Amino acid sequence: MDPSSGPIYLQLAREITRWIARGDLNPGDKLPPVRELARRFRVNPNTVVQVYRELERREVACTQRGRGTFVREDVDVDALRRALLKNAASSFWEEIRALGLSLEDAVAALEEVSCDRQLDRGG
Amino acid sequence: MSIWRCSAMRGFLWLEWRWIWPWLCFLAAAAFLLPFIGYVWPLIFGTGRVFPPPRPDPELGQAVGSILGIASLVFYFLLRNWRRGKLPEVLFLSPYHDLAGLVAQFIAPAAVWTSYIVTLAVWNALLARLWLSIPYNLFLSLQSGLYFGSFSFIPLSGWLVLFERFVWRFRLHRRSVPAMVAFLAGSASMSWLLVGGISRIAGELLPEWMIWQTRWPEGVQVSGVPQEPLWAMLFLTVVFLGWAWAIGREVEL
Amino acid sequence: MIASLTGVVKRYGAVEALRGVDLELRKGEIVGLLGPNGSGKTTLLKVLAGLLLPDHGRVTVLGDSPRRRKGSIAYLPELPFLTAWMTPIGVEKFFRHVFPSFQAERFWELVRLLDVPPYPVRRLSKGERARLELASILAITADLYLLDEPLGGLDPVSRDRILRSVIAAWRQEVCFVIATHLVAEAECLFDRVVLLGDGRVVLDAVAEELRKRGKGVRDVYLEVFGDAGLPVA
Repeated sequence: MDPSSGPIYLQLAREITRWIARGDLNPGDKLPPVRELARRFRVNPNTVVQVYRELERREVACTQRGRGTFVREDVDVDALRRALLKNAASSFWEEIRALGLSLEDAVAALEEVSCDRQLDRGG
Repeated sequence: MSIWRCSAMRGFLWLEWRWIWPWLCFLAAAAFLLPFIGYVWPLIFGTGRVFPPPRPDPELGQAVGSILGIASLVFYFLLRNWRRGKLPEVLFLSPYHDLAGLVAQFIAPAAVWTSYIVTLAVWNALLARLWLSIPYNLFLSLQSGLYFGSFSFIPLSGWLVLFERFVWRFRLHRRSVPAMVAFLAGSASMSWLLVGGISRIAGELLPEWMIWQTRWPEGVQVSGVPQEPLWAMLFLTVVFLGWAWAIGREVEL
Repeated sequence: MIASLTGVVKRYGAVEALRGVDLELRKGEIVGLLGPNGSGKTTLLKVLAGLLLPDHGRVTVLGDSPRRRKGSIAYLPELPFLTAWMTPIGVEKFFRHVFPSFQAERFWELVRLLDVPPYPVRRLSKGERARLELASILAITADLYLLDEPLGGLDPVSRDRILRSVIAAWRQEVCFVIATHLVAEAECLFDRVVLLGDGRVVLDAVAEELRKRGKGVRDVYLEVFGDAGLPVA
């Protein structure tokens, strides 16, 4: 968690969304209890409550009284994945624009990086 | 509520014991060894006669023991106050600190000192072969010990509790010269008051109920009955403790 | 509301340690009391605990003077307080007698969480001793916990365990006030931060609100106290 880059609850909400997008958490799974998540990330438990509320607002999770907070069954994991990708893409795009480069440069950079990664995995 | 008080008292008494056990050992050793002084001294540095052999002097042993008992006050005070660190701050937040802590702080030295005096008396009597029968000697030692204890060490223990709170209240730094001077001057004047001063005025000024008549066992003839202000001393002790409690409510740590 | 300070002034001789402090502490909050050395953090905590009496102003805990609420306040001093011969078992036995709301099971759970070895204090390292002291204080069931520099001078593992154990001890009904100058490490823990400079409250803000404006607590701290560690203007 980086306290300088915005509210922690949003960062944490994004992290949990990432877990769902990656498949670490599946629809219907129970999210960790507030205190456990607070301990794991070393944040205030009230912040975690805010996170879960935010996830509820985004219709990603729902809280059942006395039983905990669960990932919604009807959550569209694909949509989440694409939304996260779009987020990453817009940061990437901002960087491209800040460097004064174009879309072609961006695509070339991506291709280069993905080749490197494939080499790493193969080598 | 009283059950809880007992539990808290045990806790605070245990803490007092842990703080002052070297003093206790010192007094135990003194109680054991000092009567030998009264016993041995006349035999070694005696009257110069060979026959009849000089009698052991139990009073000397008792006197030296008593002086040392008072001098050990300093030892007690140092031990108790020198390296306590911040524990008193944490304990201050115990709801039992004001009362149980104070009473434990009084009971510990009072009990130790009184036991010391009684042991001294018993041991002295044994060495000087002033042993008539177990009940008689025990009775006499206990009575004289408790009597003497309540006359001096018990009010003195109460005064010590008051002194500590006084130091806290008026922020005399523990290791400063003023604190030490106040302590020594106070101890000396207290001792004089208790052992000397009040006895002198006892017969004249104090009311009847404050005087305690020494009771002797059946069949023992004694001419003249000592009158000592025992109850006055105990009353004074209660006054000290009450005052200490009142000041304790205003201290800042 | 758990505790409040209204216009509290505290002097040590000629020095004013607190100059008119107003503060409110509510249930469920973890409040960070931040400021450079000498800004009055310890004095403020001691006034809240009832160890010190304010020269002016009022301090209340649960509606009453702190001295009347002794069972409801737990205070961890900055300097070590356990004596050299105390062991964890000794601490448990003693605290159980002296603090009625001390819970032995919670103490042992914290001792395990904080990884405190079962030796007397004289054989413990600085970090282990600090962790044992924290366990003994957190095991008291109080409404207000006042921790004075619980992280000071400790190794990273100890600091990490301490922060996690504070989270473990948190409850919706209690309030924590943690005085520290290790802002960067602890800031994610705080609901609210109170910056104390030279005996006065310089800033009292909700941490996440500060972050919404793009500033971490540490950035705000540096802004307020500058490079010299003193309040700027």
